[in-house]
Amino acid sequence: MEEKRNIGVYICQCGSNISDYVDVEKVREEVAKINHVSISKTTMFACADATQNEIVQDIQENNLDAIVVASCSPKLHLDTFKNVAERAGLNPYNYVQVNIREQCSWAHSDKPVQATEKAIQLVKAGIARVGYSEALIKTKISAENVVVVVGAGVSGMRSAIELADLGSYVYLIEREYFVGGRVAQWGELFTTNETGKETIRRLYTKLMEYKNITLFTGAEIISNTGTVGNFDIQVKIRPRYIKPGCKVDPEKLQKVIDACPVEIPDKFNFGLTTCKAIYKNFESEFPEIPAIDPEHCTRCGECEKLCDDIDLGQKDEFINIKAGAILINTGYDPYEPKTGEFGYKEIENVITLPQLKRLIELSGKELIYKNKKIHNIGYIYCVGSRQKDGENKYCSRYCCTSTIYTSIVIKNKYKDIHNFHFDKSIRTYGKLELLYREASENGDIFLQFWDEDPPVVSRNGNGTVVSIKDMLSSGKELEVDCDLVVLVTGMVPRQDNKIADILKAPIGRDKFFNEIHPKLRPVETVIDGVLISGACQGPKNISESVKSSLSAASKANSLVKKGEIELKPTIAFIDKNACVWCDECLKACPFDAIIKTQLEGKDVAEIVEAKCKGGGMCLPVCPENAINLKGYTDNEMEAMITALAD
Amino acid sequence: MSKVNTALASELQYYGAKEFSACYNCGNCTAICSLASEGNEFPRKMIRLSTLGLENEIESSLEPWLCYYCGECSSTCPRQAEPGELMMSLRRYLTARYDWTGLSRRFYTSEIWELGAIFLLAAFILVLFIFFHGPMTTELTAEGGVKLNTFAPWKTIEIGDWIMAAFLSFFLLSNIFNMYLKVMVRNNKVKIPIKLYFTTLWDLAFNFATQWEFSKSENKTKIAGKQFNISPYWIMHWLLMSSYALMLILIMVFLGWFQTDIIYEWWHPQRILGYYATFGLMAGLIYFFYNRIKKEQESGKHSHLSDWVFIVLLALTTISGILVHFFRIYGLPYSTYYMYVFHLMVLFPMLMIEVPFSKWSHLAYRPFAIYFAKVKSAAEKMNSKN
Amino acid sequence: MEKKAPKILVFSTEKISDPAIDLAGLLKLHYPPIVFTMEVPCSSAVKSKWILHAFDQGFDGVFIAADGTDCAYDESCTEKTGQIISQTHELMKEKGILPEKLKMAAICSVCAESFVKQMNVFADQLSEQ
Repeated sequence: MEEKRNIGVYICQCGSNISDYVDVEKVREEVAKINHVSISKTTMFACADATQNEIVQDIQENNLDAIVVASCSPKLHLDTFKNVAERAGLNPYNYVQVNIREQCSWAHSDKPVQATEKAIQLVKAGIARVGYSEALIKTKISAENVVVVVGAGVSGMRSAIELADLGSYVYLIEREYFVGGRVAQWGELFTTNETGKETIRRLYTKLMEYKNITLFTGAEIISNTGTVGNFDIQVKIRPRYIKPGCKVDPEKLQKVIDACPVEIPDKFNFGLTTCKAIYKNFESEFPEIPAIDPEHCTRCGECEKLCDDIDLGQKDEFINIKAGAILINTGYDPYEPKTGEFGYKEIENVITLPQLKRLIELSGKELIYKNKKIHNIGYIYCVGSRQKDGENKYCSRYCCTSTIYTSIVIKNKYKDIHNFHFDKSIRTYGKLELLYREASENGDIFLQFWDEDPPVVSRNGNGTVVSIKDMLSSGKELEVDCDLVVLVTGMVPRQDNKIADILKAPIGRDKFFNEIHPKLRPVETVIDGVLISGACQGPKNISESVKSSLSAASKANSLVKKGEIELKPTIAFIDKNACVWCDECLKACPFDAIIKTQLEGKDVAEIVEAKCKGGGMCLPVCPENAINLKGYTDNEMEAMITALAD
Repeated sequence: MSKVNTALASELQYYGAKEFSACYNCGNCTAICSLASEGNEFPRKMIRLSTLGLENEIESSLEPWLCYYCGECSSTCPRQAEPGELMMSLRRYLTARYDWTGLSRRFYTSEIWELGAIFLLAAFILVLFIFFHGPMTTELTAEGGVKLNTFAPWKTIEIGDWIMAAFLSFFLLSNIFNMYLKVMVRNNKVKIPIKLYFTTLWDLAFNFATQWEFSKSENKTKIAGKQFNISPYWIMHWLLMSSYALMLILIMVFLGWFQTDIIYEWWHPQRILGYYATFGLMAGLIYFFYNRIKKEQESGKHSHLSDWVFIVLLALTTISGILVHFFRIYGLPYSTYYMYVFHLMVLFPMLMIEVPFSKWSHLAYRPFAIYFAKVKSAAEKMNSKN
Repeated sequence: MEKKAPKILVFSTEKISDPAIDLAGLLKLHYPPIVFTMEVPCSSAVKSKWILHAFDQGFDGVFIAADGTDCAYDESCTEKTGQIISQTHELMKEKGILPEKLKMAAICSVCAESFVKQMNVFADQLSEQ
């Protein structure tokens, strides 16, 4: 690599933000002495239009082969000056920005002399770096205007509709046989009072109007070989064992269901009831055709005898989809308490919040559990969330509101029920605060426990007692007789999260999918073209899930609609002559961006450019030091270190 | 270990506490309350005990009596849980709990009992007069006044007074003793040396006479641009209370001098004292009526039936008393007699119900509560020194 | 001979710790001016070679302001960065450089105060040595 011969350096005063503490003229004088620096200037505001034009002019008139601007943080103006370089016909990667404001003049405003010395060295290091910088060209790849949405819950369906409206072709892939995800399981929902079922029915009806949405149920992504713009996805579709043209007759369906000899816990009702191998969770569930669960079906053939539309001979189907982007919308699982956690599975009237919600759906005019009419319900909050010692340190956000809303529904629906809330402090944020107020006014009693002193559920003769040291009454020890104890369980990531491995989507500290930046890039992952939304990214209520799914939809569409995608050029490259293929780099790469190839008969590693994210994890692990990262090569880094140490 | 009891919250509704379950324990009420101190979380502690239904602890608490309803807590409450009104309701509740006869609870929680008792007692007086009244002479005295003592000789009335006073004292004192048992004996963990009851007696007397705590409000009195460090509420309350006490002394102890057929000059102490008491009662009544109707001060925003009964009866007693006086002086015999009967028909139920069983008993419970609290804290101090 | 103030080289990361160091400047939280920051995409991308080069060139201490669990690339970032540290410690031992001269700590994107504290402590430790 050839060193630059003709470098322009600009030192910004930033009004007085820099020049008040750093003697910019002295910096300029020092810098001007360096070989190959042909232009050095100080400027009031480097980012001002006039200065930008001046830099463009300087580059063109003097044939500069690199520029350095010493000003504020690159987070603010890196792109500004890259554009300046580009306008002047200079490759933007031959530009280096030196931060002498946040990391020098402001940080050392107490020591102006040293700040000036530091600034000189920082600028020298920038010049050293740009000396080795390489002109990089962004690669462009074609992109399919097709988006795969994984998961047909409320946010998956909503984003599919949005994408279809924006003109993308959408494949909506649902693992279950029916759409709706968790929301279909819930009754009345807070703020709208619409039931979950109704919400899903509305979305499904709308979804069916679109010709550019294809829905697969009982389907799963099993592999992906492509990258952004051109994901190559294989989908496995399990059979329903029912012919597609089946016209469902509810009476006949009931007879067929009755005939099925298999009886298993019904996971739609969280095990409160049992179901058969052939099932439909509720009448208005979509798609309308029932399904047979291949895992539990014994192929006894009883159902086939009663109905011609049943075909137990159906086989798995495999299809391939080419897509430009993938939107993960796989939702969450409710936390499953451990046996004995607050008496769960040991004391018979301890259930979870999702179970309570199903119980209300299944109950008539009275709330009855295990043949006992319920009068006192105790809710224990933060089970599986905000854990002090457990894995789940996070707050699940939706549960306080959901519990309080459920307690209000119970008050309205049944007579003579008292609600007791054992909480860690209530977080019904925003408008939802009104629900908290309503519950209090209903006479619900709120008791608060300390992290280290959780309530205890115990049997007392025939009844169950919850005892608590109540923070709100200065630690008074209190007891409540409860005939139903409800564990308010939080959200946890899906147990079966194979999709994360298949797409290499990053998982965060709490084991949910992780975004690039929580504020500025909240629905993108570091895997280009893989977006996340809804509760698979972290606990969210329905409206928050839908908000994020809409933003992910528009982000996915804007990525693929141009038919062409630019890739970041700062990726790793391998010196194949030095490489001995030890596979350390492959192991270090979280994105499978390294493949084995051949060079003159020996095995060597190669970077898959479209997959490399430029994170650099492979650099330090190479025993031969055969890997470098563009923009951060040994030459650049060591030159900078030398300059700084000087 | 105490059991949470939801029944109390519904019971307290009858005593007027309707909003307190909205409390979400923010503690604003305690922060603003001038009575709150560390370990004594006015009024949040009482709200919490009420929410949880811990009846025994409420029963042994003195806090409700120490609160003088300045209303700061209610106006600061972000959830309009009306903590001040809860304290008021707890005073009614405690009055009922101290009363061993159970009548107080009936009066507070049932309109039929309250109004029924008033009419019954009024009817009793009426019946007594129908059968035992003296001659209704139209003959006037030399000065032209009505011969009231002929119709209702003061000696006879005084006997009635004393019987009534015995009843009232018996019930009120036994209720105070009940209060003593609940507060100082049961549920009490501090050992209290007997001599403390004597050394703090002055507080009892002082507070009994002045009800001084009412003066400590944020709301200060302004007279001619000068601000005084006492609340107008206290001034009016004291005016009312002292007038009523004076009147009580006049009719209980000096009835023969007070209920006379002689018409004194206007400056005579018999008339001056009577007028002062009447003026005090009227001024106080107008103030409290205004307060409850206008609802500007927190303490006037919520009115329980017992509050109205009290001021209405007191007003009727006062007005009828004034009319008896003037009818007598201006020589209107029948008007005097009928008004006198009516006066007693209102006065008698008012004293019988209000003094031992209802609102007026607070004038006794409050100073006793301050007294008991002083004794307790002195005992605690002694114990911590040992 | 007058003792020279120690020179510290910091490797910060583009998305996580560098914004924290910027924030320290914005808040005018002062730290020694002999701290020089170089930004990399991820803390698990720092080569031992670079660290040793820094010591060769006269730096007294090297600090890796790691992504910790906030890393957007990989959840094993902390572990990988830790491996780099221990691997480099071995190499430093061979060259007779005290291992205390290389440190790492996770600095989140708003952990300005924590960064400043780390720098002040590290500078003190280095000048004692």
